[in-house]
Amino acid sequence: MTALLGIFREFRHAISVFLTLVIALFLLLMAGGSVGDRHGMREGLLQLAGTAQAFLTRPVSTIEGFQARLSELARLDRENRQYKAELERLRPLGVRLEELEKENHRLKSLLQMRSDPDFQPLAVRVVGDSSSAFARSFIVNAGRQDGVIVNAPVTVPSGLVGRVVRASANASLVLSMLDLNSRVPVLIQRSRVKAVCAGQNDTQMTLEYLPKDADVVVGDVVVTSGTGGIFPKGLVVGKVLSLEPGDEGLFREATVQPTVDFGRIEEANLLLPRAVKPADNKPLP
Amino acid sequence: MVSLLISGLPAMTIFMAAVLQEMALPFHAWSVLRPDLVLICLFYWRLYRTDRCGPILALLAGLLVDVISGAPLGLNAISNILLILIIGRLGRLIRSIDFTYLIFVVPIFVLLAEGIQLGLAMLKWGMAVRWHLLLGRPVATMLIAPLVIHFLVMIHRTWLEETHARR
Repeated sequence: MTALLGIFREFRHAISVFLTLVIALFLLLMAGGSVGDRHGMREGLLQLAGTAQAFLTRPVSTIEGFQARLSELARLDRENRQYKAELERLRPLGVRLEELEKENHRLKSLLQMRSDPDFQPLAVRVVGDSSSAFARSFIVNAGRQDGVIVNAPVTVPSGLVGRVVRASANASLVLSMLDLNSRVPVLIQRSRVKAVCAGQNDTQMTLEYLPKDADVVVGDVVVTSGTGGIFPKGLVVGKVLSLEPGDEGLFREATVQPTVDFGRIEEANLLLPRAVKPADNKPLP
Repeated sequence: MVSLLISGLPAMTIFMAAVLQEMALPFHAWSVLRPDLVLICLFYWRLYRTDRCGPILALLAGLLVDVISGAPLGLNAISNILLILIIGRLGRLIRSIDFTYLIFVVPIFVLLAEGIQLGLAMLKWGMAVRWHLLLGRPVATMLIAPLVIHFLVMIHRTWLEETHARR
């Protein structure tokens, strides 16, 4: 027995090689490469191998996930840049849209203005301000070719602005009511007392030739009287802001606050006498 | 328990190699250049830890590959056993070869294993030889061998040499 064990120990490698080869050959040749139903064994091994595979491929799948995330971030970054560029492109359009909306609102107000039947309104745009310390005037983009004549009244929805004092072919100079040289025949709407509204080169105007005993109070609305042949009757000029005591002389003075905000005029209506037709009713350029 | 696990490391690496080779690598993409990772492991462990890589492990590894891949049972087992027999015989000679040249020895063994398997398949079932598969596998194995061997050397030096020294 001991001798047998000794032989086995001495040739154990050769024996194991022989036995394993015999087993493998048996499986291959005798059993035709299949041992009964291999399905169960294969399934079990695949289950085991699948677990090991999941363990092995986890870093790969993690890296893949990371790569996918990176790609996603890169795509988002690209999109973000595109949207930012788009936004930058659209931002001026937004401002332009807002501007047009406001202009539309103003023009609608101009259209809704009631005008004297003897006058034809012509919408114009203010294109320049020629005001100085000694004058209050501005330039509009309509001239003789559009039918503009000297002394044509200029209005906005909130009231009278002034009159045209010079008309060139395509532009006209408008003298504001605030100008020192401006004189507008007016009357107090409530008491119908007549006076003359004179500019002072300031933000307010003065009522001149107001009878000392005239029925005028602070807050009275001042409108054009229609006398003088330049301004139609009933255009709002302003409100009485204060009254001078008028202790001396025949007349007293009052300060008038214009209803028009002269600093914010962008469009206006020129009132052209019906007898003088505009060359064409072209819209605002 | 730990020492048992450590001594089973060669078997575990072979098992992992079989799984990686047969399941993780996409078959269609790698049908031509499919490396034989199991053979690289067997080659390394048979050369440097003969005591941990014998014919029984070769048989089991071959059967595992056969079962997973669906090859005739015993085909890989026979080629593995014969290979480790040859590697064992030529062990001293192969170990004396410089590591760089060893890379070229690996595909020779792969080719040999392929030859054995195809020979058996032709004898038993009269299978036709697909030459692009026969030649592609050694090339793929040669290309991947440095990486796998480096990994095995790392395991060897980290775990198995220490265990060996303790004994």
